[in-house]
Amino acid sequence: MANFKVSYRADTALLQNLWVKSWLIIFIVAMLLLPFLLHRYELSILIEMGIAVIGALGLNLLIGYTGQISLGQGAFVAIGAYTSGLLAGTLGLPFLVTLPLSGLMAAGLSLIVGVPSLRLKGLYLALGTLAFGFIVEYIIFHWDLTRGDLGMAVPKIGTQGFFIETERQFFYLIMFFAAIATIVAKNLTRTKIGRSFVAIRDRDTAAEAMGISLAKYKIMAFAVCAFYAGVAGSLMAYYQKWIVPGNFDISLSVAYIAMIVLGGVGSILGSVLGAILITGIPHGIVYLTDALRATYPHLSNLVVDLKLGIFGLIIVLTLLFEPQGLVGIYRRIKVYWKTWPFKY
Amino acid sequence: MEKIIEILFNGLSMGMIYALMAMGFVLIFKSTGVLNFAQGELSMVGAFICYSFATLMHVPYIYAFFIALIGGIIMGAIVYQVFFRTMMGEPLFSTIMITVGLASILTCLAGLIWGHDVYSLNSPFTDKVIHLGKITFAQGSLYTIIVSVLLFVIILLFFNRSLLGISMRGSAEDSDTAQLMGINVKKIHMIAWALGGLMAAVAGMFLADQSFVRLSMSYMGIKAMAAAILGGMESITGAIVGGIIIGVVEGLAANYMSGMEFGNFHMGDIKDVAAFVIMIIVLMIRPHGIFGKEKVERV
Amino acid sequence: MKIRLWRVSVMLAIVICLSMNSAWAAEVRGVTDKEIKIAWLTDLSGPGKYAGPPMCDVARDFVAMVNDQGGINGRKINLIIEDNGILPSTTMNAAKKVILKDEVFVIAMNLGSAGSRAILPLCEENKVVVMPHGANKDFYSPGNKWVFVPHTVQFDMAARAVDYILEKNSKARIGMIYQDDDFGREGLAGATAAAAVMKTKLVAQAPYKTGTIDFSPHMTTMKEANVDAIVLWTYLPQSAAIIKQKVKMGWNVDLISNNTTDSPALFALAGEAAEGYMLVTPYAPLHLTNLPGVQRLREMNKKYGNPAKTLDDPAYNSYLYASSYGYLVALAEGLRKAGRDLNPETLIKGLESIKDFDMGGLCPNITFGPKQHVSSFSSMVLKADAKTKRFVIAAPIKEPKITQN
Repeated sequence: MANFKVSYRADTALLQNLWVKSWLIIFIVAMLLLPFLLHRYELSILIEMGIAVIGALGLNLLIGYTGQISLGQGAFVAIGAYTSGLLAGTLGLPFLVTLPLSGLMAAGLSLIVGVPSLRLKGLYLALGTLAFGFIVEYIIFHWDLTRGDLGMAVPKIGTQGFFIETERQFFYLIMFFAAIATIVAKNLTRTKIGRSFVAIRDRDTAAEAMGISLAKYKIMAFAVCAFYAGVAGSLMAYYQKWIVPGNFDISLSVAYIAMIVLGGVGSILGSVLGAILITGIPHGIVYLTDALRATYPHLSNLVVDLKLGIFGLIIVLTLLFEPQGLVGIYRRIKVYWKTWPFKY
Repeated sequence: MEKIIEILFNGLSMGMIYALMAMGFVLIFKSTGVLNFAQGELSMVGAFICYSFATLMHVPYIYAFFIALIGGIIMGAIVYQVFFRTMMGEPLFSTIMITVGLASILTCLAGLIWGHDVYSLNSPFTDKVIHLGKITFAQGSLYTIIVSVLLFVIILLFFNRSLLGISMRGSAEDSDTAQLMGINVKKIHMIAWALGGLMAAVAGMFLADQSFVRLSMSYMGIKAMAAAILGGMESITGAIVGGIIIGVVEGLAANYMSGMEFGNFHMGDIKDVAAFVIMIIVLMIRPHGIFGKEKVERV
Repeated sequence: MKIRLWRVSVMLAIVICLSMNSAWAAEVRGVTDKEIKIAWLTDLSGPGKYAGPPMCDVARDFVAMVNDQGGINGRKINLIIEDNGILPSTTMNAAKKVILKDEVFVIAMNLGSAGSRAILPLCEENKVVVMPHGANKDFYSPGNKWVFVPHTVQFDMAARAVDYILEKNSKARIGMIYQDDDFGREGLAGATAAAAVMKTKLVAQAPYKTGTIDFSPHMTTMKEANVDAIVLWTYLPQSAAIIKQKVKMGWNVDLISNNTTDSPALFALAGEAAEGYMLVTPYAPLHLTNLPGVQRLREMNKKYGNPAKTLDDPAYNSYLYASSYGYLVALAEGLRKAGRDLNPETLIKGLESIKDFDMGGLCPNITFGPKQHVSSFSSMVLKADAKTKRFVIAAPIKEPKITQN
């Protein structure tokens, strides 16, 4: 029952114990087999979740680990999506080139909020990122290059003969990237960079006094978050094959925030859980209304309307009752389990 | 010549509305340290309440106005009681996110109760104009400006002269000391929220008079945040000045800059984004605004 | 070493899976011996929420009527109404659901042109015929094999508007306020082209972003250009706002707008000031019961629907009911002509073979062809009568002087 480690390596290991390892193996096997068991529709939902996981991971690194508030995640996703659309559509660059470039473009533009973040704290930073989000949306809408409301078509991934077309192929592709994103994020938190982030979150003046360069790490945090968002946006663009500015407005930023709040701020597992749940809720409502359609035909209109309010409600309820989110609940259950029948 | 006067007048009228909303922000922020992202939504609900009574139930406008005011006060108090009483001392992120979540909830509820349509609020001033030579003024705008100025004067007097106002300023400066001196800080916070709700409702109704009542009215709230930042989040005079500046700048930009093109870029609808550009500029140069004081951080 | 082996095998598994590509079974999705599954995507919860209910009412009434008469070629229609929230992302979700989960045969209506464009790749891939609401240029020029629009082309309606103004006053100075998206810009293109045919041009233009309701700068521009009439390619809230602005400025200028503003809500929003407001539309007002097409529509509504809550209610948006009716009639005819052997290709051929289908004066007759997937180019002009809160016909159905191919 005791939980101690005998070597430094064991303490910082990625997979801490047998429990985690076995669950991970089950998960991997499930991911490989699912496309053969599920319908295209369900796969498409899982694909959306995978994309959301990437975005949520980035945001949690910024808000959860570094303590910088960003309300502009939607803008970075948009930058990634449109960069991909433009590079692939007009210049015809292949996917493997456009994906990292989208991330880098988003990371580059994140300097616009990253550099001021050195001076702005909390509230002001939140407003700054919010304004940034609106301005990016305005630019995308009004710039001829991005074709505004007309929308932009995004070509398929692949080269002659081999295209990634079916839901199944997309699923493996997205899961691959989501897995890499998660592993990188988890690793980041184990390194000096991750620890510096947490130090900045907890007491930034003290961190600076201890020699952690605030400038370097704050900008890095924004850049990493934006990179993740850019990648997510790029994948989203390729998957949907058509992007309009309206997809990337403030409601997307709020959705990402809901994901990390629900899952657990400051936790990688939390980002994944939150992303899966928040993406799943609208689809869950659709399933529910379909099932109820026979008995309560008018209820479906009512419930669909609630989509808007449900994210807000989730954020509020989570913050009021379980500020650490699902991960907090999970941790409490774990502790209860471990220390039973003792109370603490 | 006439055109400029008309633009300035209309800009001033819009500016008053922004100022009212910004004052709501500042009131709540100064007293409780919470930035209320849901201020725009509270305005929208206030306008809808007035619409319900005035248009749907055919209550005379003046009564509907006061009913909506009371509604605003009650809403502010309820929000405080339910959400923030327990949240004293929580990290900034949580408080901001609660108001963001609240904003979505309010929008959804309003959509359910009143619908997503565009509605017209009929006040005694709708569609009436005054002509002064070649210049045309809308009566509604004039009324907005006059009543807003009155409200500003009352609020400023309240904060500087009355006992309650001074207690509010005290508890904002240092809530621990204020509590030690016998001020009931929780009651003060509730009053601050109630006043914020009141300001929101008034702003909402004036806005409804100038255009229509609909869900996306709440967008104005975000622009009003720019006004509050411009003036300084800690200063009531700042909110008023900030609001007026943003209103006038928006009006001028809309009239003179719309339709301009820079290469591939069309500057249509500058009105929507002017406030945010101002916000970013202020944040970069002088985050604490015109009247605000720079915050000194202690380790 | 162990980890490397593990990683390599995972990679290998992924590569194998990516290269597999299963083909679906050969039967036609959405069609069985006894029924045809049809999807109807409209906005029930989003910004266009007011449009949803009338469109659903007519769909239900029409399907009830068809099924009552034995269905089409022996198959009954199974109607699946899905909320698409009018925005592209939510429309995408709705389309994915009806195609991948419900497996419908055709999407008989999709409200929202941006959403329609967003789901087009999905429909092409899955061989689903889709009928978007609103004839926007890309849907007919160059057009798309899978898209059919049983509605008059926007471009030509704008041209008709300008024609009408110039007919009454050939020296009229015409200005235009239009929405800064493809809907508005197409109206602008039509108006400009019509003006060019009459050897004149629009003297002032003012675009605005979707959702704006403050028009003081735009109206000021118009006034400074001294226009006699303004063409409004806007939605209803904007038209109402412009009417109010016109009153505020004390300026009595002629306004002519498009079919989306044909609604009783205009009178609620603008009141007395709506008097004299004109619009161009393909559909006749439904209070004109002398027209055979209107009679047929009303009979259907009386028998299969709830007239008290729909067409007989003065506040009901009968224009949406009527225009969706046109879609259903066209689809039913296309299905009929496709015959018993029903699959996406035969449906396309069936629709393309519809020629001059009689609509009894309710709207222009419907014609499709291999190169023409939009049903008509003509429209009529209506004028608002604020006292009776209705529209009356000011000029009958006619094609404008220029006709877009």
